[in-house]
Amino acid sequence: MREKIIYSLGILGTILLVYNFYNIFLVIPIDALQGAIYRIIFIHVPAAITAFSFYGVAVVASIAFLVRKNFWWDSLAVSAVEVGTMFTLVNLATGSIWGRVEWGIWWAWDARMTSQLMCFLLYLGYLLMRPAIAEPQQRGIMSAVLAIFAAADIPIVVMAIRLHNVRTQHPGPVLETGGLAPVYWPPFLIGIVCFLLLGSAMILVRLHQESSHREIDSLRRELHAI
Amino acid sequence: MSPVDITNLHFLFFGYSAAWIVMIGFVFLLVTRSRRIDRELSRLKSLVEDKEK
Repeated sequence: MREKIIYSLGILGTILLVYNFYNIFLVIPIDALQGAIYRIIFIHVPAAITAFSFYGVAVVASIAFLVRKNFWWDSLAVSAVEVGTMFTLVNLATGSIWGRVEWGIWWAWDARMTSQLMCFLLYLGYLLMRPAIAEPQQRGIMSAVLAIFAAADIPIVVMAIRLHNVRTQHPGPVLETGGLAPVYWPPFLIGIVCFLLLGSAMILVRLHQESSHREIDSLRRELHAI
Repeated sequence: MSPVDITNLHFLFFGYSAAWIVMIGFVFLLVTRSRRIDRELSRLKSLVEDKEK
């Protein structure tokens, strides 16, 4: 059943992705100001939204673990963080390449980009910290606290281009201000759905790996006891 | 096509390539890790069975 769900999510996500690429590269018109490079927005922004959604899942799972002390929640949190961090890296890489064309520089240390880099580093720290703690209960608690703490950076990333007193190189918000032309909305929304589907499939695979890990730990303990 | 358009297309290619390299690399890591975990699990299961005999 689990494998069927993973394959279904993966196949559906891939079909939508191929359809979306057809739209992005062959159907929708080129942006008059930016030229072809604007098409990077259809992978850059959905990657960020997907990453933040999965960080949200990690926060909920972390709180649930702290309350219930059930390791399934800890597994869900680490799976969501790992996939979210991967999507954050996609967001940072594509943003940097877009910036090289539009601004002539690979990176600007402005509020949006720096806070997003901080977000990536915080969750990377979460993933690097886990193997360093041997005791599962302690590892779960410390990971949950760090996941919740790191999520405090997400509103900073979101608000960095919306606050009037913050100067930023990054373009201002276009989604809620009507800055995105109606013709660009379908590929943009389909891009988000694609990444959410593919990311969910990856989370399910990671979740299974975590449960296998726990089984390995219990078998090792059993072997020691025999 | 102007030199600016060509540069734009080059960087668009780099952008999509970077995204795909990260995503496919991550999937490759997932598959490799799954295989390693499955091997370790079956090894330990057979070890436990042997010891119990």
